[in-house]
Amino acid sequence: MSQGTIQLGELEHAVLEDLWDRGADHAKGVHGRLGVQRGITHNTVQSTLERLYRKSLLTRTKERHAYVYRPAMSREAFLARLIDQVTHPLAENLPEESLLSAFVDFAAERDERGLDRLQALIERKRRADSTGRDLE
Amino acid sequence: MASLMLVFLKVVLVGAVATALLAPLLGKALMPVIRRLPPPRRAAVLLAACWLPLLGGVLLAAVVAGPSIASLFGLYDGHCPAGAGASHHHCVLHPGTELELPWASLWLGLIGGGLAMLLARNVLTLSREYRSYQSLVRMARGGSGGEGALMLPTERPFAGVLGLLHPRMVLSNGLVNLLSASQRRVVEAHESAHCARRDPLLLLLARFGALLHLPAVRRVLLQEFLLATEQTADERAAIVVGDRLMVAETILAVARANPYRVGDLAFTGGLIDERVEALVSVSPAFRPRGVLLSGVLVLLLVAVMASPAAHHALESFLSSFLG
Repeated sequence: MSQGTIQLGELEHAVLEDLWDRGADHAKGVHGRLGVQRGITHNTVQSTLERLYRKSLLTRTKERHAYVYRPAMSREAFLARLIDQVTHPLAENLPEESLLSAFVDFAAERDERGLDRLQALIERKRRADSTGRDLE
Repeated sequence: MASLMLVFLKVVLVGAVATALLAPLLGKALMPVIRRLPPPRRAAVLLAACWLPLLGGVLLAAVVAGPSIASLFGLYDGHCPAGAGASHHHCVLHPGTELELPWASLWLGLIGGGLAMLLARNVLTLSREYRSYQSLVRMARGGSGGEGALMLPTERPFAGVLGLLHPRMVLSNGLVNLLSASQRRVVEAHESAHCARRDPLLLLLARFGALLHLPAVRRVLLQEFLLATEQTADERAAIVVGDRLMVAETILAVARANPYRVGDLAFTGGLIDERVEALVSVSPAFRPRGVLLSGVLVLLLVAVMASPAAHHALESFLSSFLG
């Protein structure tokens, strides 16, 4: 399984979603569900499946004369990788150069002691507020 | 016309390089004042600081070219050698009298080339990042939470704002399940503030503006800007839920859910210390006098730079130093 960056187009994403719901299918089946309603040809669906296979997002086995495609990873695992990709600094980028406004930096390493110290600070402030004293 | 543009470009580049070299000194003097500003104002000042080298370059070009252009409209006399004045120096509008920067072409070309490569690299990285964001937003379309949040069907904790022109709040089921109702309100209020301010777009502007700074200055500026945007959103969330300590506790709760926590390091990453300490402490004292003084100094500097004496001195400096 390649650990490269995941880059998906809209149709690739739709095909992957379809196979996550379905489990496995060949190009004709996927075209029947997605291609007809989108007005795209069987060849377009076939080449999209081929691209997803080359990106290691699908596996395939030959049954009779057609390939049957299956997702190479679960939706949950795929999402986890995508979140890693978005929250980790890409390539040599620095965290502060990211365009993501995250609630906390999910890629940052932090320790229990540091978090405990901050928690203690908050609790001291709560106590100080309730007793009307200043925080030392 | 092309040579005129080239002269302008060179002068802008000289000004930008000079400002970028002066920025560390300027930063050392002004950063303590900037850090005392309320977060929204601090973010605005830091965004402008990111673009300071370019502003410095444009200001220098304006000082050099201003009198020439003013004399063209009869607003300023005695500058252009093609006119009647005697105290002329250079004129960027008349061929043969424009500012000559022969040696500058080589090293300014190198700097310009380096900057173009840096810009291209950033655009490429940005397009990759943006496609990743789009993929994540597509995955989140299945459901929707409160405050118009898109939900990611995963147990991995995640909360963020994605998109530049139309930013959307994206939360994961894992994070929502972890938080109490009031903590979730904090996260939603914080992310809503990012959406309303279009912070991802501002981060993009800061990132590109700061390309002209020295790498060490760029890193400090972007980190300070990021901190200011986060603290602005924290303050907004504190107003919405009416409890600053609840916001601080929520930051810690989400940080503890981070899968990258490590055992024994004596620091907490991702600006958490500064954010929590700011929420726990009383609001930082705002010293408008210091800011006003800085503003007056900048205006004074601009006025001196725009004076004919300063203008001629600059031309002489550019000609002798670069020629």
